[in-house]
Amino acid sequence: MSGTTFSSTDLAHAVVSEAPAPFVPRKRTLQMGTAAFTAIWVMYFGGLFGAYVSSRNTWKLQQDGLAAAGDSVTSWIPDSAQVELTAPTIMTWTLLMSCITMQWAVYSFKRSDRRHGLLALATQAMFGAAVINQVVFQWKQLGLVIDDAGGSSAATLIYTITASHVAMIIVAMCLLAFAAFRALASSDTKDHVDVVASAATFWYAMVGLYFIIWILIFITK
Amino acid sequence: MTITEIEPDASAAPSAGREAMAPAVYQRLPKNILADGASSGDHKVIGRLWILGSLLFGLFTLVADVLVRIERVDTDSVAIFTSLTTYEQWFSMHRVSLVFLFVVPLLIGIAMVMVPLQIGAPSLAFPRAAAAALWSWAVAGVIMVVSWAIDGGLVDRSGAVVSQATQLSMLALAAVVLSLLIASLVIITTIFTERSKGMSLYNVPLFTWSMLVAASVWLLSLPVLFSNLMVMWIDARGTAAQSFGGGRLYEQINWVFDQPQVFAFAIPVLGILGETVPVALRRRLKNYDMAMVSIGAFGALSFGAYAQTYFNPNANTTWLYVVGSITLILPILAFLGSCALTATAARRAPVMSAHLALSVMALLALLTAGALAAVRVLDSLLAPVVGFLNRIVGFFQGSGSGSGAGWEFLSDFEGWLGDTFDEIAATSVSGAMVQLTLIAGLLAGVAGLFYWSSKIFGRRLPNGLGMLAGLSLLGGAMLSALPDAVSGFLEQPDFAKAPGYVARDGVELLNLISLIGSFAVLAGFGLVLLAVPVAVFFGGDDDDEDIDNRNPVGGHTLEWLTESPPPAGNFEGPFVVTSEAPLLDEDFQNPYAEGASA
Repeated sequence: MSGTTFSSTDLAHAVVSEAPAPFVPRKRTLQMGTAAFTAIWVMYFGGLFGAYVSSRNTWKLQQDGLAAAGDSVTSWIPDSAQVELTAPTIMTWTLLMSCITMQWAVYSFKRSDRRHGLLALATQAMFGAAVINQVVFQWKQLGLVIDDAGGSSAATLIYTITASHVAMIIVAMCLLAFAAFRALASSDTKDHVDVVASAATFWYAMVGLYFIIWILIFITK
Repeated sequence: MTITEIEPDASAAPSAGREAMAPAVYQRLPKNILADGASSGDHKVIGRLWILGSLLFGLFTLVADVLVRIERVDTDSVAIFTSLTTYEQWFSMHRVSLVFLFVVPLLIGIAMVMVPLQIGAPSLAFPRAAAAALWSWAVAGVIMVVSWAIDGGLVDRSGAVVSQATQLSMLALAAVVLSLLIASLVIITTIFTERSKGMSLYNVPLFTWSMLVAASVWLLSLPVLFSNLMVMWIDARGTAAQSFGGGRLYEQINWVFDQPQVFAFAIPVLGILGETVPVALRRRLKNYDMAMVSIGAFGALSFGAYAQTYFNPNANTTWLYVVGSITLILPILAFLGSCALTATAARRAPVMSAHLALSVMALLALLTAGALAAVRVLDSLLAPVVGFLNRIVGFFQGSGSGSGAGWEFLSDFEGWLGDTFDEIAATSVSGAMVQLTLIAGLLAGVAGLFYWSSKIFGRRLPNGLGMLAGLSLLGGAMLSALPDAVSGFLEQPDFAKAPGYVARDGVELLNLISLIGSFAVLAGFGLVLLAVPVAVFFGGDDDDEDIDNRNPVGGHTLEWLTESPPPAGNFEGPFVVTSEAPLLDEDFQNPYAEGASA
């Protein structure tokens, strides 16, 4: 101990100035905003799915009419296109696995476990990047051409839907990066559980939408 | 919990709560609204810029409307525009800009300023997102107008390839829609999370409630429009226009400008009326719950993302569409009933003002539009009823075997009803309805500007100019829309001069009357544009000591507690709110009352 003495007033000041500011619980603003933001995306995809189903049904009715008249018919997805089920199925499983790591991140943040929280977010980002990689591979594999004059509008709709989903993954990864940044900057990750919970809400919606894409486009074709 | 209402003195208007307020004077607005606004996160600055931008785009929109109607007077030739395609581009443009650059942004701007004030919040939930939405909307709006000027637009009959200018129009419109979606998100989140203590969703002010309903409907329906635009744009990236390209671009998004979706842009009409009527009658609104349910029901019925006739040609014959269109008018009438009950209970004449007159005019326009929507689909409802009756007749004709054909005249009548619906489905009846609905939204916006002018602009707008502007706007809307409705029932297409168009006798006269109405709308809007700068830049301080500058209209809600215009942070609060009209509550702790501790 040094010989310096502190008066009770000095000590009180020191405690006040060095103590971290008390954490004020936020309102559920971020969760509410994210829920509304997610609703925008869900309705956006709802519009795309509606257009896809409607166009496909109209096309099939036209083809049935041609077949009844004895004319040649073409399929909704042109025969020249290569629609493999492997890549979409792997993507679906990848995204389903990412739901577990997302929940791991939320759980870790809640328990103030920064190390596992960040690890979970990094794994999550890796899953996202893997899905984007597979989509790009699939686009190259598909061989669908938008300019197929006289053909169906399948190419336009499939590219729009899959590209929109890639955009959604990128937005979800940005939210993850935001959550990770907040976690790194904070003294206690528990204070920012709302950020990661909001990112999780958006991520789950993204996974759910891909599940519909998988069934609508690749399973039922 | 009991609510004690203070009956205000009929002559003086201010309530007991307000009599004790400390004196306040109008504050000057910041001198340089644009420079301050570019870097501001203050909801009032952002809201004022939304309003300013929408008024500027509004002037452009209404001039375009006049030009289109001049072109329609002579049905034989294209005189003003260089080609039929250019005319169609301008026609579609004035519809698009009327909704997305004018009426909706105007209402959003008013909401950005007033919603936090009405719920006792210091700011919006995401002020930076609100600012980002504002600037992206403004930039995208300018790009959209420029794209039209360089031969873009949502009609492209130039050939198999969609031109780059048209693609730019699509992207610009998508960016505008995205900006409005973000603004809607901010409003919804603010209302859900920033309300003052004690204010549940059951006792938010009606304008705030109507904006919550409207923003929710926009949030759920406009992404579908965005998806349409994305499909069109990606289709246009190809070297050959497919199913989603060429001259059919506007058809794919036409559902936004048709019933029921177009009514979603006029939901705040009811909210503004719900603010002005009780204040004019100096008492609470009777059956407040019913008024809220009415607004909610109107919003739910106006959701129209499912009614896309491009993707589903039979969408307008589904039971949801037909029943929804016919019942759309019922919530308006229910809301009107709530106002009528309040007027009956008040037993005194309302205090006449420009904002009251304007909001009533907005309701009249909306009611007329609702009636048109119902009439338009009524025959499609009647056709199956007539068919069913005829089958019963056939059943008895066949002595119980059901083999009779029924009466021939009933069969003919059923066929005529069905044909009539198909024939008027895409006629200018829809144009008339759109015009009336959007002018109703505009009137409501103008009513809001006059009602809250002391909060928005820091000055009271001249009542006389407001009344005159309202009369001109409503009269113009009726004159421009009703002849279109008649044309529509004469089976004239909405897209007059579309390929294969054959004008009927008398349509040119109807188009001429419609043009005069359009001029009247422009003149009315000019008066509004005149009123704002006159009040803001040349209006003096109100020296009348009888009028409380914090609450010059005798309002009942929280925004009337604070200064005019409100300072940063809005209130000295906090408040505990126990009813929808806290300033009428005896137990309301007013932090501005003399002797109250902030």
